[in-house]
Amino acid sequence: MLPAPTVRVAPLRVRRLPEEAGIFAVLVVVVLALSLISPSFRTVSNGFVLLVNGSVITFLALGQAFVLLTGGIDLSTGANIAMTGVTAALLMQAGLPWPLAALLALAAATLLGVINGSLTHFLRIPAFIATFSTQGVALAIPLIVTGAQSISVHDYGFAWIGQGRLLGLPTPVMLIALAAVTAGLFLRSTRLGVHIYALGGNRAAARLAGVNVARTTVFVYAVSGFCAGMGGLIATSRLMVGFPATGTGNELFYSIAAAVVGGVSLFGGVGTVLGAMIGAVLIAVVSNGMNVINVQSYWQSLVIGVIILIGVTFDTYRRSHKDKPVLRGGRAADNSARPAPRAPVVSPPPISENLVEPSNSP
Amino acid sequence: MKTLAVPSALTSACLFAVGLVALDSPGANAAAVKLPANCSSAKPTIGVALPNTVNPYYISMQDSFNKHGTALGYDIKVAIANDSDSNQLSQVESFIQQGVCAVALNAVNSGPGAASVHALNQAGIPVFTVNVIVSADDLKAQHASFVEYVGADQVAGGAQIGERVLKDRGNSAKIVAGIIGDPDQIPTNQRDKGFSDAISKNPNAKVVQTINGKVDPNVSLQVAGDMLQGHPDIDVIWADTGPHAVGALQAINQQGKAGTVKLYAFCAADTALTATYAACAAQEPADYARIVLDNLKKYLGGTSVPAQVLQPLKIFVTGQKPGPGEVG
Repeated sequence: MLPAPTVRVAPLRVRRLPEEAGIFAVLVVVVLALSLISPSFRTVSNGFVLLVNGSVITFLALGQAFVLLTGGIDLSTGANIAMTGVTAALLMQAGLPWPLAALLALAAATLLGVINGSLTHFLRIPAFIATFSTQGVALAIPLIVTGAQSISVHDYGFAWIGQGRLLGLPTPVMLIALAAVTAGLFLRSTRLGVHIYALGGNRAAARLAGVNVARTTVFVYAVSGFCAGMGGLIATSRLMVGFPATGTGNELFYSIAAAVVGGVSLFGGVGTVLGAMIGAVLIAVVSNGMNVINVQSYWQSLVIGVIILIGVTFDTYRRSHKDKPVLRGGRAADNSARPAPRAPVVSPPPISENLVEPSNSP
Repeated sequence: MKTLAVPSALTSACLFAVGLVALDSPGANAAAVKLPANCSSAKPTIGVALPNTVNPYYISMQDSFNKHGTALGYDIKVAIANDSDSNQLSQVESFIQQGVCAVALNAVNSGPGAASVHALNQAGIPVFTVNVIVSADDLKAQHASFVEYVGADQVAGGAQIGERVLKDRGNSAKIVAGIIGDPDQIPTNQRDKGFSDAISKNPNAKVVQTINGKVDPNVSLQVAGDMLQGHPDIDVIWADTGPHAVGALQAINQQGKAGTVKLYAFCAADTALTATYAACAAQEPADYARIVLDNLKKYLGGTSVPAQVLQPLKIFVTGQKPGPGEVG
């Protein structure tokens, strides 16, 4: 009778840092550095100012992440901000109560997104061209309708969106937090969310596997349009003026940069909402920090560029070397270097043993 | 025959050269007198180059150019550069191609504006500059010149408001000031200088930060918010254009500092002055357009016009409201 084989199973503890850890570390380093340089930076009130100032770009980055995940791009978000803001201001001027005006303006923003998605999918126009064209249209609409005049908003209830508080926090911060959590759960846990990743990862395979490409494409651009609309409402509410040139500055570029810095690939299929949010907060922190520590405006874009460059280089290095031990020392650490746990090695007991002594089997 | 040909060729060449020189020798004002052909037509075309139409300032100016130009019998063509220097240069070149009689130029930025002036000089089209001063150094480097500059006395505007601050607060009160400006534009820099020089008469007044609002109320709102966080002891903000004032006012209110921080500015369009928004200086862009066109008409008629016309600013204080078209 042979002894029962001993089975050694490798511990299944695999200590792996989440993908966003790299860029989060960069964010922490930047925040610490700025806090050390300036006592004014490390106050709660500055934290709120920073987050509210960055809320529009963060919303755009959220919507842009959805589009980038499918391998597309949305260049019309900045112009969509202006269109939504002016639409809301005009509707309020026409006498509509502000919640209705805001909802209708959001619907218009989402409609622009749907148009983007339809152009991209049904007409097979490259996303870059389709959204570039709709950007021009969306930019012109507020200028044509208003004659380039700014439209003042007199309905002070509308100010709640950009200036009010929700559960003790500034409304824009709460809105973006709610949206980010919803979006993150959606992408991770719903079928459509998985389809979005599939479409970006391998378009042909996704189609053959039964992903409804039309619905997924139009959906992500609609989400991007909706997020741009939210950004437009926040920006207009903070100024209480529907300004036809809102959002036509750095917002578009910084929002794409935020998503990419946060780990969303420009080629699709890779990235998370959390990463995009961290990227957007990093950009907001740097922009605010430069002003708070009184860096001259000529230097600001240089500093932002260098920080993003260093941050993304570090993150890229970390991702490409993630199979090497992060922490040295101890068996657990060595095992964490392996990409997959080792399968337990069990040699089946001889048949005769099984028949004679069934209780021996593990 | 051969020997005679050479001297006669030489002679005709010399005569030709002498003739050229005679034709070309300019009188003192030949350049000024020689106008484009379009100016003699029944309805001369005047090109107007403006930076954008989202700043209410330029909307007012554009309307005035159109209305007054038509009243004077001109065909006004307006080109909007959307804040791009290269756009403006191509629009000016397009005016040259169209053979306009004269151009009124409100440069996007002071330095690059010289290239537009130079191009117009080359084409023999008279240039009037308005509002944005074209950099004198760049003009000299490119051997360019304009006929007349019409604008506000920027330095005086800043100084008047600076003096207002000292009047409100006292000549020796402690004043901590922040400036929202745009370092790329000469007029705004002049206003800032006028303001800083005026308040420096108070030994306890200092400017702690100058920040770039990019003449955009959204940017101004954000950077003013950052500045107020970075320097919580600021009690005066100087916003040197109307759009900067719009953003700064919102930033002050939204941070709950309406009681402690006062805003002094170049007037925001259609905004009444309050306890927080203490004083503003208004330009009248419609007026500048009118003066440009009136002086252009004089110039085209052969009368000489002054090299610059500096208009005073209107000051408004708490409780007043600038009229439509009176903007900073």
